[in-house]
Amino acid sequence: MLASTFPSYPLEQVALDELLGVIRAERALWAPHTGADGHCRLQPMGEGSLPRVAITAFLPLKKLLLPPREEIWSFRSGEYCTAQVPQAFAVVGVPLCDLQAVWYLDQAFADDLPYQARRAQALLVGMACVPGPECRCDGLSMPLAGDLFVDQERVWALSPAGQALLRACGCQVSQEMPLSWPVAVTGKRHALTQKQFFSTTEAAIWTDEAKRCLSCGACSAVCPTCYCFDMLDAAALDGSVTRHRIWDNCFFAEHGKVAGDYDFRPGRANRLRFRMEHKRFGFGALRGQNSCVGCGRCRKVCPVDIDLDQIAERLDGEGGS
Amino acid sequence: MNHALLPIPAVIDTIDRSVINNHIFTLRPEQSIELVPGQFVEISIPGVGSFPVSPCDLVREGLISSCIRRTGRVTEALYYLEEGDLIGMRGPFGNGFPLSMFTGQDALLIAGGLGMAPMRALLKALLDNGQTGRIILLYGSRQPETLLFRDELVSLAGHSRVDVRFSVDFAEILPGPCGDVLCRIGLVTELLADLDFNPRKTVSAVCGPPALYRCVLEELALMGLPPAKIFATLERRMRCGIGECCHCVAGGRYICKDGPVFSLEALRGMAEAI
Amino acid sequence: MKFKTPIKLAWHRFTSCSGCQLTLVNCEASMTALSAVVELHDFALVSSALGNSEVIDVALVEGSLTSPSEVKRLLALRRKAGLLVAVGACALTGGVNVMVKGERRRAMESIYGKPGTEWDTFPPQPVHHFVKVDWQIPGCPPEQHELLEMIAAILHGGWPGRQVMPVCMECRINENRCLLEEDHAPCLGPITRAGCHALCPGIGVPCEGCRGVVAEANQDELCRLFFAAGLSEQDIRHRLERFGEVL
Repeated sequence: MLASTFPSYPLEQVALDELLGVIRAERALWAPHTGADGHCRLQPMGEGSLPRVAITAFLPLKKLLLPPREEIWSFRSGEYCTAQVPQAFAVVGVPLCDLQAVWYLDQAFADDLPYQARRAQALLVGMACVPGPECRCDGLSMPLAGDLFVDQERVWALSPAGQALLRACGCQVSQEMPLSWPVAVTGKRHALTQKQFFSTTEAAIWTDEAKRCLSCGACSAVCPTCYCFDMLDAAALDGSVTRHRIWDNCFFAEHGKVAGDYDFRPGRANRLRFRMEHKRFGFGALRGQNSCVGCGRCRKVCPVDIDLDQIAERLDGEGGS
Repeated sequence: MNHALLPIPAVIDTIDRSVINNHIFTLRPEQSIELVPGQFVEISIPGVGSFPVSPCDLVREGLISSCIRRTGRVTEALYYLEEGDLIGMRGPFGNGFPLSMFTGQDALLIAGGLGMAPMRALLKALLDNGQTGRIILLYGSRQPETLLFRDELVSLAGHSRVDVRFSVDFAEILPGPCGDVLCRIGLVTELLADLDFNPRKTVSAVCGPPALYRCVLEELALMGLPPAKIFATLERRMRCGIGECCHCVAGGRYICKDGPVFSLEALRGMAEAI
Repeated sequence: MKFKTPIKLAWHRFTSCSGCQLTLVNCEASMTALSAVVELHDFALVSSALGNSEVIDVALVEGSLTSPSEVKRLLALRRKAGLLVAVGACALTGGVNVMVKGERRRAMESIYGKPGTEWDTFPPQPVHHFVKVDWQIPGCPPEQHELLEMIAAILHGGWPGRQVMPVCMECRINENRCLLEEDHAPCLGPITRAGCHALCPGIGVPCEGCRGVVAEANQDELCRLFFAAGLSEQDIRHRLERFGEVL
């Protein structure tokens, strides 16, 4: 259900510093931090000052909720042991598009114990952002997750936990208001139906784009809703074994292979199309749900400037009929 | 929520080594795992890795038997283990064959190569519940020596309800080692040509390598079987088993969770599934 | 593969710099644990007293092959070793040794003078040109954890699992700035096998491709990017061939 309004409070009623102080007292704080090289990354903030606006970090929140390398279990003396539950943490300064992506991951990993254990420890505070040229967000395309959202004038409670925090800070009367989505976003995602997509699987653009694609996997790595993973065992010399969940990527040659090396997605064009299918139409229970939140990370990192929206536009022109 | 990615310890109970590189491992998990034929488990060799496998028998007294081909890095490591060794097991995963659909119907089972392993579990379930009419099993293998469960299947040929036919890609002498069972040289689909069955009263299950599906499923439909009564079990690289990791996706569906058994009707709507 | 613990381990060096074996010898934190499960046999860098054993469970081989006497030693090692692992770029592809191109006799003379022309050598070859290689560990030098995890996996009766992906993936996971994209540097990250945790790009050095080429590599497009960045055909060729991989 796409909620359009949430209880909100004017910032005069709640002091933002007090609110962040309450959060900081109970949790390890993470926030986007722009380094000397001009790149923004989600970092533990310690005592450092907290942001007042959201910045799109190099890696999205999946860095913390579905870490690139995460212990799933260990095997010692004939017993399989679950990994430790992480400590409570909060992320402050998350853009709205990334909160949508967390909603998507929440659905995709609804039955995943390690994910849900981390998720339960996370408090997410969204903030208003300044959209860049690569931004194509759309508040109507997907619900969002998170606990609080703050812009220059108001604070919204997105979850019961967020509501409780605001109450603890003395907020009394709430007003249901729509979130302040960025208004300056110019780019729009090109609409494409499943019918159009599947009737154009042989279109020349797939081979054209596949010729350029480096298969480097950068787009999926930075995508807030890409969640392919593999699991690898690391044995130690004392005989114990640790199984890790690690990020995988549908651009890699091993991804669609089965025993005996038969490949169900041979060639780069197939893999590019597979990624597009996931972004546009989702898999499994999420089939039909667009999963692109328009954060623009993939376009920013692609060394050869492949843009799924441009592909969609060309498919629309070529096929469909 | 249970931790579906956490294996439970399982002991190798017995190893049947009668067919080279296709040993049957019978495993005893510490907690029993209930499985419908066509469902699968993930077997884990700690420190090496894991692989999905569909049992070749019904679960009996907590024992799970699988015919595991020595084909990759992890199965290779399994072949060096012995009775009593400890491994791990996760499952059950997937949907399995729709057993209730076979009730009151004839069954046409078509298996190619290692596909005979899960097919045997289905065959046993159908024989056990006795609610299926005639059971026809068409089984193709590379050569007579690589036919899995050969003696058992040959002995089934005496069963009034069961009709077993073999095909092999090549053989020196025929029917030789196959007893009274018809054994032809050729593709398993060629056994369909002179098969006498009622397509309106038959449910079919197919399990084999990708090439088998491409030629046999639509042919069955042409013979008059309704696409909703033709079932295939798909092979993919299922890593998680719970519809998350994306390796096994075809036609927008997780083969590990929404499948691995799909009707031809469903498969027709799944691009690039077969 | 199933061996009694401790496993009998040998390390043989052919034409190489010893950097690969130093990587293992430098695993100080793991030495106690390692010595509990491994019995060293031939390993000249560790001790010259280890001698030449009759039976070896696991032989690690470093370096490329450049002379008939080396081949003879390799064949003898293969005959007595249960498993043979090629370690490092030289053993896998010939490594930096294959950079010497052109007429061999002249090259030998230019470096060693007249005596060099008499020596019985041939252009550097990877190990798999002569013997069956059971496992490969890439890198120049290889990663410590890959060596240790392989030994630990052998104790469990198999080879370790590993993800085959390009360096770019690890580089993005580390949130490094992209040298290819931002500096137009000739970084081989998109086509090079990962596992090094993008060590070089992480400190601002473009990937040199020491771990070999990934299956999904798109060399044509990467070369086009290098051309566009102003590299000459010869620059690009040198870069791609530095670790002996023929593209």
